[in-house]
Order: sequence, then C-alpha cells, then structure tokens
Amino acid sequence: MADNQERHYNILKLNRAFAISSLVFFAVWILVFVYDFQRPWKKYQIEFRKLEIEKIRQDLYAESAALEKNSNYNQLVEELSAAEKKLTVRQNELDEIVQQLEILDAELYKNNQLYQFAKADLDVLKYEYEKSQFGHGGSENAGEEYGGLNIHVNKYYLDVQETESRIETVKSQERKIRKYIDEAKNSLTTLTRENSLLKRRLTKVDPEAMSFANKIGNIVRDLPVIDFIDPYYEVKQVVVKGLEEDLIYMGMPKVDRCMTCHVGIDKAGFEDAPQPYKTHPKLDFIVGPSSAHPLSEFGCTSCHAGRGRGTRFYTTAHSPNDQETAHRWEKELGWEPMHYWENPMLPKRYTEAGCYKCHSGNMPLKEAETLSLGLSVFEKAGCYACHQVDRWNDLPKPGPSLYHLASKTNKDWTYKWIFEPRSFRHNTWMPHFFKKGNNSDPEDLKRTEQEVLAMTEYLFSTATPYKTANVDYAGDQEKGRVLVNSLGCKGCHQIQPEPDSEYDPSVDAIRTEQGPNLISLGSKVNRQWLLGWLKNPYSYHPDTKMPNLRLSDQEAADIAAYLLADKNKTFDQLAVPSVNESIVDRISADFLSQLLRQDQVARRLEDMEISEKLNYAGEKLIGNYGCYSCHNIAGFEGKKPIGTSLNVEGSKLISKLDFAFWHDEIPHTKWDWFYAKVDKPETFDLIPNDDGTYAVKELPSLDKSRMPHYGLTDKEIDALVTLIMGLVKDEIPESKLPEKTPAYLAVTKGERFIHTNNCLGCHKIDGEGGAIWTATAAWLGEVAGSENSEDISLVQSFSPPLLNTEGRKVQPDWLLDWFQNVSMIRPHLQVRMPSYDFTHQEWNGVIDYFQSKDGLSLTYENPHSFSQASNSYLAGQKVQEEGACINCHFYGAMKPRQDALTWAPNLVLTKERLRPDWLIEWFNNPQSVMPGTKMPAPYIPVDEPINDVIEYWGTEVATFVGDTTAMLYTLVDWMWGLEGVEDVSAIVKAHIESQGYGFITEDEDEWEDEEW
Amino acid sequence: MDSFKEIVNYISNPTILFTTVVLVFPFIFPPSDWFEKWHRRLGLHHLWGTKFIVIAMLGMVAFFMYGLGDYNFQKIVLKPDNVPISGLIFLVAFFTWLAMNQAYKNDERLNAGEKPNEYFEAPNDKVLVWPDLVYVELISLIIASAFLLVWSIGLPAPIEEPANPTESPNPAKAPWYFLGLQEMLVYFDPWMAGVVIPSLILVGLMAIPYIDRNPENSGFFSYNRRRLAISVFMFGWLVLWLMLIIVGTFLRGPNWNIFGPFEYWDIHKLEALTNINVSEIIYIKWLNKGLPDSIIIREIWGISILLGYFLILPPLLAKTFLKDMYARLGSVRYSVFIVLILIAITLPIKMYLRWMFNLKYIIAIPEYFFNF
Repeated sequence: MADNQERHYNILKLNRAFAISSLVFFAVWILVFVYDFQRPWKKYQIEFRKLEIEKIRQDLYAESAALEKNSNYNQLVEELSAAEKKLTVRQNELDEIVQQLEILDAELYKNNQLYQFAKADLDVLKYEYEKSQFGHGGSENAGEEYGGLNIHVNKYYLDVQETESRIETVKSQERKIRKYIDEAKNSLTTLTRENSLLKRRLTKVDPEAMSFANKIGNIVRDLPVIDFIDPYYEVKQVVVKGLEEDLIYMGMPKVDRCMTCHVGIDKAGFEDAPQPYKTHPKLDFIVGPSSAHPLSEFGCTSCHAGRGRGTRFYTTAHSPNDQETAHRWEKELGWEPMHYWENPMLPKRYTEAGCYKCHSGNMPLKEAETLSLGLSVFEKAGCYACHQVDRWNDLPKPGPSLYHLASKTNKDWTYKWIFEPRSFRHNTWMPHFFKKGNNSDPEDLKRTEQEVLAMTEYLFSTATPYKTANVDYAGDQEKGRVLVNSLGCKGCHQIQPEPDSEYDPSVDAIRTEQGPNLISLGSKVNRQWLLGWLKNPYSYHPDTKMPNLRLSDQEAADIAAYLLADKNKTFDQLAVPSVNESIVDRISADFLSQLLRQDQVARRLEDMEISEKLNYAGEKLIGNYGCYSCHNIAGFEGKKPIGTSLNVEGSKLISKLDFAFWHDEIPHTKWDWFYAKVDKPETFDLIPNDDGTYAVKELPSLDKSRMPHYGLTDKEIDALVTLIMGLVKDEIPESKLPEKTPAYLAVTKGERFIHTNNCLGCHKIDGEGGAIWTATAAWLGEVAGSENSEDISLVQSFSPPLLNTEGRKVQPDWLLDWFQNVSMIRPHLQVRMPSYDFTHQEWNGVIDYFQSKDGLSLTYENPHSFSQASNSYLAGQKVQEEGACINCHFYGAMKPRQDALTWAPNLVLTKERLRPDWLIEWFNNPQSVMPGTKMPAPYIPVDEPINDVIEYWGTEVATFVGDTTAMLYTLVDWMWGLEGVEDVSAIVKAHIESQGYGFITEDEDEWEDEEW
Repeated sequence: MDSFKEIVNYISNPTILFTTVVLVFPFIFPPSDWFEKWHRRLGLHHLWGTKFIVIAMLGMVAFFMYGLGDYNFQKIVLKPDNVPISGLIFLVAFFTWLAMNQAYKNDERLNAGEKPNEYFEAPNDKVLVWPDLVYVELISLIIASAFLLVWSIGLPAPIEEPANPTESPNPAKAPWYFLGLQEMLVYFDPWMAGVVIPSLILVGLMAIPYIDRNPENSGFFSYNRRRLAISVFMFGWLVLWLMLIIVGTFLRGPNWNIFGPFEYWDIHKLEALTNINVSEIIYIKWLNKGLPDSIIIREIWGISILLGYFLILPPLLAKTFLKDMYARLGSVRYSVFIVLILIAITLPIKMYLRWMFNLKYIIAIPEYFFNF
C-alpha cells in the first residue's frame, strides 16, 4: 500500500490539468451557446428591420408632409385650437359638471345596491309565498310580507332609474360644451388615420420610437436563452395544409420557412430592395394575402420546390439560374448543390414549372408565358406522339398520314426529305434523325443512306392510291397568290423562303406554323394530289387539322398553280444514292439476329430478293425510329409509341438520368440533363474531350440514341424543360386546386380544343390570338396601299371577327347549325371561315366553352316576342332610320348605302343569330365589347326633352324617353320584324367584282382636294 | 504530380495492396527467428524508433494535405462520416508505434538483465484509485467531451435523402465498423461472411485467454518473448480487420468497384466478374463433361479439399512446423486454435483464388444455401 503522500502522478500537475481542461470545456460550452444563438437568418432579419424602419420613416415623413400641405388638415387644426380656447372660458362649468358626476355616481352605486339586496330578499319571499299557496307549509303571512317588500323594491328601482337619468342630463350638458372640440377631433382622426397607423407600426419596430419600457423589452426579448418566450427575431414559417413532402414511407406536412430570410416577400414596398428582402414580383397574383395564391395557404416550395424547412442558404437547396450566379454564390454564400434533396428549388428560368401541377388543364396559362410556350411547342413538335403524357392522349398523330404517300410525291423527294428535312424546308417541325453527332462518321452515313432508302421503299410499296377528283382547269398563279393571301391560309401557314434571323418563338408565333411553311411545293407534290387536298383535305387524311375552305374548282386550280410554281433547285439537284445490297443485308441481319441464330439469318437473307430485303429492313427501321408514332403508316396500326412516358418525368430521381461521360460539362441537375437531351438528344452517346470536340461511344447501330433533332431555339428548349419539370407526381388536394365546376371544366377543355385547332390563328378572343392580322395587313397593303395597311382598325375589320362575349352574343342552336353549314355573315370579308369535320359533340364543347366563359349555361331560351303593331316596333323603325343602319348593314337584299369597305352583316340574320340581351349590351357600348370595332353606338334620344323628341322622332319613340334599355329594345323588336333574303353572297360577289371595295387612298384624296 | 496520383491509384488496387502488405508484414512483425534476422538486417526495427514516428506522421500529414488539393480525394476523405476513419489511420499508427516502441525498449532491458520499464518495487507496484485513476479519467472525460463538442459543431453530420426502397444508395455501405465484414462479402457467401465468420471472430476472441495461458510477460509491453502471438494477432487486427475497413471506406465506390483515392467515382466503371466454382473447373474445364446431377458427386472435390484443409492439415502441422506448439498446448487447445487460425486464413486464400482463378466457391450447393 502506497503512502498517502506518495502518488503515482504529481497531484499539483493534475490539478492544473483539471483546471485548464475545465476552462477549455467551459469555453466550448459557451461556444455551443454562441453557435446556437448566431443563426445565419438572424442577420437578414436584423438587416431587414433596418430597411423596414427606414421605409416606415420615409412613408411617415411623406405622409406628414402631405398632411401639412393639406389645407383641410390645417383648417381642422385651427378649428381644434379655437375650440379648445373656447373651452377654457367655460372651464368652471366643466369642473362643476365633473363634481356633480362624482356625487351622482356615488348615489347611483348606493341606490343600485339597495335595490339588489332588496330584490334578492324579495325572490326568497316569493318562493316562500308560492310554497305556502300549495299547502306545503311555510309562513302564514308570507303573502303580506311579499306584498310589502315588493313595494320597497319598486321604489328602489325607480330611485336607480331617476339617478341614471340625472347622470344622463349632466353628461349631455358636458357633451354640448365639448361638441365642437369632439367634432374637430373626429375629422382630424379620419384625416390622420394613415399617419397614426404608420406611427403605430413604427413603435413596433423602431427602438427610437418606443417608450422606455418597450425599449428595455426590445432588448431583453432577444437575449440568449430567454429568447424562446417571445423573440422579435424568430424562425417564421407557414404550414401548408394538405400538401406533404413525399418521404417514401410517409408524408410529412409541408412547412416553409423561406420567409425567415425573405422577410419582405409579402410586404409591398420592397420591390427594389436587395435579395433576400425583395417583395414578390407578382404580389397581386401570388403571395399577397388577397391574391389567388396567398402565402399562408400555398407557402413557397409548393411552386418553387426546394427544401422549405431549411433555414440556411445551402440547406434550402437554392438553385442558381446560371453558372455566373453559381460561382458568385459559392464565393459569397458558401453554396454548393444539395445532393440529398430530390426536389431542389427550380432555377428562375424554370419557375413556371410549378404552375403546371395545379393548372394542367389550361392553355395558355395566365402569367406563365414560358410554360404556355412549352405546352405549345410540346404539342406542335408532337413530343406527345412518342412520349405519352395524359393531357394529350386523345390527340391524333401530329404528322400527315402516309397511307397514300405515292399519290402525293415521289421516292426521290421522300428519300431526301427523310434524310435531311431542313434542307428542303428550313423551319419544318419534322425532325432530323440522321446526320446527328452519333451517326455521322463515314461508315454511319453509308449505312443511314441505305436505311432511308429502305424506309422509302417500304412507304411506297405499302401506299394505297388516293382517288382525286379530276379537275382540269388551268390555274392562274396571280389569282392564286391573292387567294392564298386573302382566304385565311395564313392563319395557319407561312410562306417564308428564308429563315427569319430574328425569329422569337411565342405561342402566337407558333400559331402561324400550324400548317407547314408553303415553300417549294413544286419540288414536292404532284398537282392532282394538291387539287384533291385543297378541295377536301379530309378525303386524304381524315384526322388532318387542315379544314375545308369550300374552294371552287377554279380557286383550287389557281392556288395550286401559285403554290406549285415555287421550286427548290438546290434540293432537286441533291443526289439519291443507289441501293447497296451488302449494307442492306447488314441492316436486315441486325434485325433478324434479334430472333434468329447467325446461320438462320444467312439462310433467310439468301432466300430474299433485294426488294424484299428493302421492305423488311424498311419496316423494321420505321418501327425502330418510331416514324409511325407521328405518321399513319400501313402495318403499324395500334402500335405503342417508342419514347418513355413523361407523365411524371419531373419527379424522376436524378440517379435515373444517365449523365454518361458528361459529369464535368453538364451540371448535375435534372433540368440541365433535360436541356441537353432536348437540345442535342444524342449527347449521352458521346464522350466529350477537353478541347470541346467529342468522340462517339462504342455502340451497335441499333443501340444508338434515336431521339431526333428538332432545331429548337434556346427559348423553346427552356420552355420545354419548364414543362417537363412541371410533370410531377405530387398529390395536390382538391382544396388547393381551382374549383372543378362544370363551367371551369368546360372552359379548360375549350381552351385546349381551341388551341389544338388553332382557332386563335385567325380569331382574337379577349386580346389573345389573331396571328393572321399581319397577313391581312400585307394583303390590304397590296390591294389598297400602305396607308390602309397601317390603319389597324381597317386591318381588324378585314380580319376574322373578334370572339369576345361570343357565348352571350349568339344563340347556341344557330351557332351549332352555322358551324356545320357555314354561310356568309360579314359581306366585306375575303377571309373565309372553313368547314371543319368536328362531331357535333365537339362543336357543343366549343359552344359550351363560349357560354361558360361568359357565365351562361347551355339552355333553351324563350324566343324574343314582339308585335309589329307595338309602339316599340314602330319606334325601332324610326331609330334605325335616324341611325342609318342601312349605311353599312344589308337589309335582306337591300344593299348598304356606303361602299363595300364598311359593309356589315345582313340584319335579317339577326333574329336567328343573336341574343337580345347581348344586343343591348352591344348597342350600349360597342367599343367595350369589341375593342376597335367600326360599329358606332346607335344614337337614341333618351335624355332629350320629351317635346323635342315628339317633334323630331315621333310619339312612339317619345314613349321610351328616359329608359335607355327600353329604347334600345325598340331596335331589337324592329330587327326581329325585319324580313328578307338571308343569303346575300351573290349580290356581294357581283358588287365587289364590278365596283371593288372603294378603298380611300391618299392619291385619291389629293385628287379630290384639287377637284374641290 | 499526376503520375504520382496514378501510382497511388494503381497500388490501391487490392491485389497489389494486399499482396504487398501480406509479404511485408512478417518482416515488420517477425513471428520467428528467420524473419527476426531479416527484420534486423533490413533495419526494420528502426520503425519503432522515435525518429521514424516523427517522419511517418509528417509524411502522412503531408500526403493528406497534398491529397486534399484533389477534388476526388477531398470528397471522399472530408465526407463527415469518413473523417473518423482518417483519424483512425493516424491513431492506430501512433498507438501501434507507441506499444512497439515500449516493447522494444523493454526487450532490451530484459536482455540486459534489467527489469521492464513498468516494474515498480513493492509497495510502489500499486496505485490509488483516487486520485491516480479516477482523477485522470475525469480529466480525460472533460477533454474528450470538449473535443466532441467542437467536432460536432465544426463538422455537422449531413442529413441524407429520405430512405427509398426503390433507390438504394450506390455504393451502399455498412457502418464503418462493419466494412471489414462487408469486404468479406465479395469473397464469401453472405451466410458465411455475415453470420458464421463474425460469430467465430467473437468465439475466437473469447477463446484467447484459454488458448494462451502463458502468464509470462504480462503487465508490460514486450515483443520478443511473444513474437508469434503478437504477430498473428496483429495480422488479424491490422490487415484482416482495419485494412479492410479502410479499403471499404475510401476505396470502394459505386457498384462496389475499387477506386483509387484520386479517381473519379464513375458509376459506369465496369469490372469483369464472371466467376466459377471448383466443380465447374474440374468437370467442365478439366474433364470436358457436364456437371453430374448428384450434388454429392458434383461437390465431392470441394468437400474433399475442405476436409483436407480442416482435418489433415492440422495434424500435419502438429507433426512438422507447429511441433512445439502442439506440445505446449495439448491436443484440445491446439485443435481449437488451429481451426480458428485456418478459418481466418481462408480469407486471404479465397481472395487470391478469386483474383487468380476467378473462383467463386469451393463448395457450391445453392440448393441448400450452403456455399463456401
């Protein structure tokens, strides 16, 4: 046993070590608190508080300055001080009143108490008395006692009331004395309400404006440890009800803490503040409390994605919009991509992807230009044909039918077209499958040439003949040109020989690309086919979007002559290679060996003729490249599309996207992968080199990426990526979605139908659409000179009509009938409403759309009743006479008085066509219904002295003076009584042929001036 | 400098790394006189001198500092989960050195007829619980707590993505202390690597005090008099356990492929992994015929090999190389000892069989879930 004094270690040293380590531990413990206290978001809130104080001070300053300048305010202040002065004179009276009130109050209290006590006793006696009445015992003289006390109680009660009325009198005396001063004060308060509101806000945030006690509280509430009670600086959050983060095994309520740093996001006035303090740029539309998507209900990450629970820049999974921002963030904020969150925030350029998950039914989406463009491009480019997305399940194939290809064009053209479509038509939507990065080395080119030959062979050998009407008119090119420019072809087609270097893709621009760019048709189609197609497109391809324009044989021949005159010589001179049997063998063998052994393949090939081989290879290649996804091709009916379904592509895990060798060149995000894939689909078949060139991976021909090149602009690709990022599997509760009323469903369905069929290529609805207007202007320029083509109201009047308020405007049964049997309405129009082969359900959908949009529902209405003997009818006759409707409108066969330039619909049609209610709305203010219309509001003497009206307008009209609606209804009655010819097309044709439109040109004006 | 990285990447390949370590190991921890002779002749005893540890530590620090300049190295070493393993490398190196340094010093003293360094004359051969033990422990506790706090603040552990049954992380790694076992899964059937061998490791550790009952040299560090015991233990501990953990932590990447510390973890990297069983080698490769239907006949070769390994080898060794040991331990303790050792040695044996002959299993009876 060791001596007590002798220890193994030096105890002094141990003590020292203990002391030092304890101090170190203490320091670390403090560090823990400091670390816990110093949250990065705090400095943002502190900074924002400064901004907010500054802002309120400025507002207050401005408000006070405005007040001081306000004469009303100054006058009130003066009145107040005058009133106060008056009051000092009567101070004695007031003092006396105060004294009296004191005494009276005491008296009231005393009396009230006496009354209460007595009343309690009375209640007891009442019970005793009632009990004795029923013979259950109790005092005999209870009745007497009760009666006696009752008198007392009543007396006390009267005393109380008397005192109360005396108090009231005294108080009213006081009020009388104070009357002026109170009034002045009240008016001042209303005037300074904004001011005091600001002041109150300031006392909440600005220590300088606080009382001393609040100043202390302001410091104490944010001290460490006790800052859990009611701190000023705190993590702010929104729990988004109904939305959950998908954690695979469970859903976790969505909690967004973004506003902890983005403190000003829902406060107007910080639009120019630096981030993270900025106000949301669309406060009225999104974050604002009265907007459609208030912050408290929708949070932030529901649209923007990201990790809402994070309170640090990095843990919230911010995504930079470009590499420059990324570098800046890395340097200033220590940012790096957050790998552990599958839904990082959408970068700014793809933010609109968030709209799609709730608004997938609309087209276009309001306030979401990029996403709308994405939807438009996706549909136009036919992405849905290979990549299934539910929204487009019911659409026909996007490309033309190839069932009767041999009747339309020849093999050489087909070969050259498939091989390189843009060498024929620079802006075609038919994509490039060949000459891509992964199939362009000399060997590949040799093979792909033979592939295209084989496919061409298959298409022609399976094509069935197309029976065309034999039209043998000689066409006139020049007439054809005018027809193409004026009939409305350009609502859907362009004629654009050279690429437009300033092309800016937009939903509207794509509307003029609904049909192909009509160049070089002379190199492509044969005349007989074109005539048949023009006369009736449905006879060639029942699913085509090209409608029937009801062309006469002569018109068709003229248009064909014009279109066929244009040829592409360079394209015509391109050589078509000859069939190389050994390569065709190899292609066929590639497919055959998927099923057969090598020796069987060799035997099969030996037994096949070259044409059989071509056909076999062609069929297999068409299946391989998925040509049938976009085109009707014999032998491929009912086949599934070849692309991956994109229904939930935006929710795909990033690990399922193969970046191949591009880990340094392409940022590791879903959107960058999608961008690369759309921009250059074969990217991931390539191996990048440091010098920017690339090599191709070792891949058998059939394993190469087949997705073709569309030649899209950056803007279009970004729009497509926005859409793809919006195709997510998030479950959205009904409460967050737009309410699915029948009207909403009808409108969204109609919007899509109208988009798909390009109605807005010609028509404008509520300011949207009207792509054809530029073509109308060009045509006007040609027939009437440039000054007319620059007159926008004239352009509007010669373009297809606006369809604003269409639902309220027309009678639904008439509209359905008219859609199916189009006839002339606007006599001056050259542009023609085509005949579509929509089913009557589809037409009903359109009508339902118009009606629902205008707040009506498809209902039967009583016909408008009127009598030709009524005052109203007779008054209407007078009003139309004075209003000179005949200047522009046909009255049956009666031609308008003015030139054809201003002609308007035959009023005989009105009773069948329009709704009386709408007509009243229309007469009231044509410009507000159809901005830019040339229809003037009819003049009616509704405000004139009755005697003048009787004198000038007659007694019938005078009956309606003072009642605008009734007065306007006289016109309706008159029109309902108007009889005559409905179809004036022959008259119109004859007139325009003989007299023209009567355009007023500058030259004529000058000439007329001289004459005058 | 890139060539240096390439060299490091190259020697990180387990075939080279493991072979080198196995070859060098007995010269560093010599189990017998012959190795001891070469140990001295090659000057390897200087490894345990003070000068060497300074150089080694500085060298390792320099290597890490250099490596951190490389993106791939940085990514794997600075991953918060892996930082303790980097620490482990330094700590194990230091404490191994410390123990060996003291052992060699004691060996010298004993050889010179002196008492070992740790020897104290009675009554000073005992210390007081308070303050000599508890006080020191308390101070250590405080320092360790402070260190852990600083560490957890300075290097917060990341919360990873939500667990997803359809999306296993690639590579999917066990906790660091199980990475040695996971490494064995490459060479053994999961049943063996996951259940049988770990159980035997525990049994073996428990058996040590019953096998080695030699009370000599306890209470102080010494190498010379327990060469074989220390060498065998160190091989199991440093090579078969810690090295596999380090390989599993730093060198195993996506698809459980080996990546050098400076190599990009390319998910597309491929290794040819077509492996065959002993029965296939014998019947198909050598005898040119199909596998027999009967499991017994099919696996008779593998079974014979294993029986030979576990039943014939121990008596042979007892008669030859391990004659002394057999005499010292007696038959029961010898049997237990030799079976445990032989099982431990199957790991390197199977590694080499895999690398050289693409051998999958010696006995493969998947019908009854028995593969070895």
